[in-house]
Order: sequence, then structure tokens, then C-alpha cells
Amino acid sequence: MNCFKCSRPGLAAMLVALAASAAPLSTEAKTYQYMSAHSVNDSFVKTLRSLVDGYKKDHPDFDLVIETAADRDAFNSKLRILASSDQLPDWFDADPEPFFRQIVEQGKVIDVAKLYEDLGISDRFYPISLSYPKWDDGALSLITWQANAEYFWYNKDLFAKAGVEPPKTIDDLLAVLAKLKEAGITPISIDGKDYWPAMRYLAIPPFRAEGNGFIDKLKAGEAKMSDPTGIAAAKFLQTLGEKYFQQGFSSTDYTAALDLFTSGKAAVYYMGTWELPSFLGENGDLKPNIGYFTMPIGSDKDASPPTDWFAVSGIGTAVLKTADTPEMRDFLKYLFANYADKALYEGHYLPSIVPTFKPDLPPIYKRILDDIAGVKTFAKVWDVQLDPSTVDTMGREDTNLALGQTTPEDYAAAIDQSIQTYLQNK
Amino acid sequence: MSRSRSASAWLYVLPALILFTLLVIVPIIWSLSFSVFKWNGIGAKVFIGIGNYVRMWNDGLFRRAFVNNLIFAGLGTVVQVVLGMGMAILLMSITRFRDFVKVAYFIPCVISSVAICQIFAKLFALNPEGVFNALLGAAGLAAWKGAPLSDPHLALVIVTLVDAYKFCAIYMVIYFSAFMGIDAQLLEAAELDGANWWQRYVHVRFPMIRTVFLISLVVLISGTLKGFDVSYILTGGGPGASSELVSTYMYKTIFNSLNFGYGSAIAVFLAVECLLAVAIMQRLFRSSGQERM
Repeated sequence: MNCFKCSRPGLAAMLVALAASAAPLSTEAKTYQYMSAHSVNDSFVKTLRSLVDGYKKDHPDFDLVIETAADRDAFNSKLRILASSDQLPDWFDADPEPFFRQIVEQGKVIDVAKLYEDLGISDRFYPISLSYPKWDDGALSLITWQANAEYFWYNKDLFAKAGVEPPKTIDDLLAVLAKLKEAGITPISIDGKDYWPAMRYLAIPPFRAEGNGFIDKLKAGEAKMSDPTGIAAAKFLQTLGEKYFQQGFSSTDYTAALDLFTSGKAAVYYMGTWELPSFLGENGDLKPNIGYFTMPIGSDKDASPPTDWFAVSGIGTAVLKTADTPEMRDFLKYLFANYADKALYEGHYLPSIVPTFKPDLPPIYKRILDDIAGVKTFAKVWDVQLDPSTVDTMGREDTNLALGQTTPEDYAAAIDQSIQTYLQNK
Repeated sequence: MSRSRSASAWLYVLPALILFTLLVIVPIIWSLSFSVFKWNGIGAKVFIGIGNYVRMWNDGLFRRAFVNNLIFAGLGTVVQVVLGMGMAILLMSITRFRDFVKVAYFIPCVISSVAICQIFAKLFALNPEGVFNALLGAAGLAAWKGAPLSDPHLALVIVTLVDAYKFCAIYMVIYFSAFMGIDAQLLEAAELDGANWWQRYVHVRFPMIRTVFLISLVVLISGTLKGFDVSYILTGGGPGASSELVSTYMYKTIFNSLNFGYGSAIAVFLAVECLLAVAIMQRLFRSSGQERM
């Protein structure tokens, strides 16, 4: 007891000293958390880290801690748990899908269109990077980092071996695939473990026939998958799955599907330009045996022009209103001023903001960015447009359909049922 | 038992009881409360009474997952018991390098499910060709080459066998320990009476470990009814829903479909199903003359 009495002044002095040393930290240091859907080695993450480090040189009290994800499923699960417990981080990645819409409607995230206006950068983005994450009412809640086109990449040597040319129409595509198969070549390599690649194939005939009208009406319950357009789409996917996807596609993951194409064992591979580096040679341009073609047209009665196809800006980033501070705005100003060139010339991916075109830029990048700039109306991505429950059902049923385990009619009924259930419970 | 002895017994039990309550009972009650609401994780919860349970009854996919789960539990239990017992008998039969063999057998148990599933995914892969297809090719059976994990008729069986492979060594250790605990004099007496190796197992060792065996069955069945990791990682419940289990369906309902209420109802079903299975087994054991476990 005596000892405690003796040490009391010392203890008080220590506490004062601790409080004094801690005070500046708690009031000045600004550390923000960013929960990213990207993997730790992703070029975007490296670019962002590099820019944060650059900013910190002049602003040592600022920090943006980036938490990366092992895969998209793990990321989604974590984000949904955090959202349900009201523990969202300052920045978090999201797609413009129904779950995120509810977070927006709760008024938790900033208006990104207003942010761009305030920073005076609205006109520096590629149109796709502004329009892809927009809601149907035109509001914008996500910052986008990339501008990507989705192409049918093809192996020129295998096409030559089968004596075929890149197709112009959907019927041409089926004919080309048939000839490739006759020549003993695996026509299409697809990542069947993920749902989205099969959904892209499924969405091609409806987009050509009705533009985005079909998916807009489908998600609103005004059109059905069992309508002729939907059934035609289901039959198209089933034909591809039963005849032209690689054997065992449903258990093939992203990397294995990519390897199958890049190693010359499959002729066609549908993929976005975020995977462009895999198709480049040592000179930084496309490998001589790899080419690409865009989404084939349906017929001359198509609702969408040939120049329109799937173009995406990747998963976007939302910023909580509580993180919209003067320090954050200053960082964002620095970030947007330096982002595009760093992404293109150091990260080697296509940025959402128009970069400087330097003479040493490989021609393929310029070509793709010109393609992207020319897209008038991009095809809406079904796995983002539809509600999560229907996406899950569609992903599972797509596999059944492509494996011939269900009929297009039963498939369509399952999708319609899921959409109907969602709309009833909404 | 005196009052003080009873109190001290409760004191010993208390830490485990508190943990069990916090980690098992509370989440079950929590799930039970969620299961009567319609809730997507954010926003307001809407009370719907037994609506989620009615939906479960009418949900074809849930029924498919339930049937898959019964197959998974039945086949998995048989395979794990047979393999575990076989390995335990093998260990009993060897004296040299026994510890080495024991550790070797036990390795799959300590490797993470992700790693095990990756190994088997590569083994069964067609592109790039895995060991399974390479062996078929080498044996002149190239026509049989394929991607079994993409086959809706094989996926569930493979998931069950991989799960059994991962966990069977646990039962090996349990049975081996039980065999080692048998009084050596009993075995010597049986040997003096002329019982051969097999007869000593059938008439002495197996009856002596009967209680341990029955307890292991309870653990196994309740464990396989809750099976999740191998199905989720190896096949994602697919192709289609061919290897979907109740727990993977519950997970997807909550985190993919964002239906926390319905997912919680499935979680409650899973808990009740496991309790029911254990209760039925206890009843069976008691009726067959076994003491209450």
C-alpha cells in the first residue's frame, strides 16, 4: 500500500506524458480503410499503393490501408456481413447491383457524380467508365478505375488450320465453331467455375435482338425468359455447351481456361481486356498468333449496332460519407491527376481516365481504347443487373443447361420463378 | 453425491458450459429468431412467422440438397468407418515404423481443406491433364478420360470420398487407441483358448470397443450431416446442384442470395436434423442393450 502511495505521482506523470504524446496522433493522423475486391498482386492495387505512397511523402499523416481479397466470393461475403452489422469501411468495392443499391438508398455513400464535378474531372473519363456504374435513374455512386472491352480472342493458327475466318454474325460464329470442331480443335475455352462467362454468351442473342431492352424488362418482370427471345438465348447457350465448350468446362477455373487458350489448345476465348497482358508478346503488342473479334451481330434487323458490345469498367469503389473529408478530397485530387498514366504505363492496364498517349505506347492499347471510346451503348451485364438470388439460380442453371441436364424451357421456367419471387418479396 | 461434491462438479463443468452456451446455444437461438423474418442483411426485417419454413418445404433445390446430404452422410460414414477401422487394424498388426505410418496416415487430417481440394481438383483435371487421366491414358484406357468433377453423376461421390479421405484418420486414431486400451490378459486368454487372429478381433477386440465405435458413429453422422468445406471448395455444390449439401445451400442462400431469414431457417433445420439423428441413434443403442452415452 505504501509502495502504491509512493509511486502515485510517478504514475500520474506517466499518464500525462502518455496523453500528451497520444493527443496529436488522434487528432492529426488520418488513416482510412479500403476493402478491395482485388487480389494482392493485382495491377490496380499496386498502382493505388504506389500513388498512396507518393502522396504520403508530402502528407505523412495521411494513409489509405488497402485490404485485398482472396477471391470475389470471399469479398462479397465479408462485405455483406459488414454491411449488415453497419461496419462498412471508408472505401469499399461494389458493383451497381441491388444489394449495393440498398446501401446507397440508406444514404451511406457519397454521390460520385458530384465528387467528379467538384474536382472538375467529369470530362476526363471514358464514357463507359461513367455510364457502366450508373443506376437506371442516372445517379452515380461508384468510382471506376478501368475501361475494358470484352472480345472474342482467337488463335490465328488454329483458325487457319480449320480454314475459317473471324465471324461477323452469330450464325457465322456457330459455323466457325463447327468447322473448328471438325478439324479436331477444341472450339471454346471457358471458365465454367465462375458464373459470368456463360452469362455473357447467354446475353448475346437478346442484346442483338432487343438491345438492353430485354434485360431491363426481364429484371422488372415485364419480359420472361420463357419468351421467344429468352428461349433462343437458352438454346444458343445449350448448343455452345453441348458442342463447343471444352470437355469438363464446369470444373475449369479462370486460370485453367486462360491457360488452355494461351497454350494453343483452344481456338476461341471470350475475355475482357483486363487480361490483355496475357495476350501480349515481348514487344508489348499482341502475340502474332492471337487476334480478336467483337460480339457478332444477329442480323440486319438487330436493335443494337455492331459497334456496341460488352464493355465494362470493372468493379467500382464507394466512399462512405463519413470519409468525405477535406483530407480525402485532397488525396483524390492528387490520385485522379496521376492515376491514368501510372495505370497505363506502369500497371499496363486500361484506365478509366483518358491517359496521355506517348509514342512508345504499343498500338494494341491505343486500338482498344479507341474501340472503347466508340461504344455508344454498352451491353448491360446480366450478373450485375439481376438480383443476387436470380444470379445464383442462373449461374447454377446455366451449367445444367450447357451440360444438357435441363431443357431450355425448364431453364427459362426456373429463371422466371426466381425473378418473380424476388419481385414479390421486394 | 454430497452437495459440496455436486457443487464442485458443476464448477468443473462451468467453463465448458459457458463456452458451449455462447458458441452453440446462443447462435441457434439467434438463427431461430432470424428465421421468422424476411431480411436481406440490411434494411428492415419483416416478420413472416413460419413463412421461411413453408418455403423450405416447397423448395425443390433444398430437397435436392437434403437428399444429397443423406447420400453424403451415409456413404461418408461407411467409408470413414471402414477405412478408419482398416487402418487401425493395420497399425495394430505392425510393430516397426508404426509411429511413422500413423503420422503418414494422419497427414490429410492436418492439411487444410483448401489444399486437399486443390490437390484433388488437379488430380482429376482434364486440362491440364491430371494424374487420374494420365494413368488412364498409360493403361490404354484413353477413351475413359474425362473430367469427373464436371460429371453430375460423379461429383457427389467424389466429394464424399475426398471428405472421407481427409477425415478417416481421425477414426483410425480413435479405434487404434481403443484397441490399445484392451486388457492384454483377455487377448492372451483368447489366444490360449485357440482363437486365431481374426477370431480375436471378432470375439474380443470388436466387442470391447463397441461403446467407442458407437460414439464414433454419432460423431461421424452428425459431422457429415453438417459437411461443408469439401463440397464448397471442390465443386461449389455443382455441376448445377449435383453436389449441393444443406450447409452449402444455406451459405449460398445467406451470402449469395442475401436471404438471411431463409438461410437462418435452413440453419435451424440443420441443427434440428443433427439433434434428431443423435437422438435416434441413442434410442437404437439403448434398445440394443447399450448404456446411455
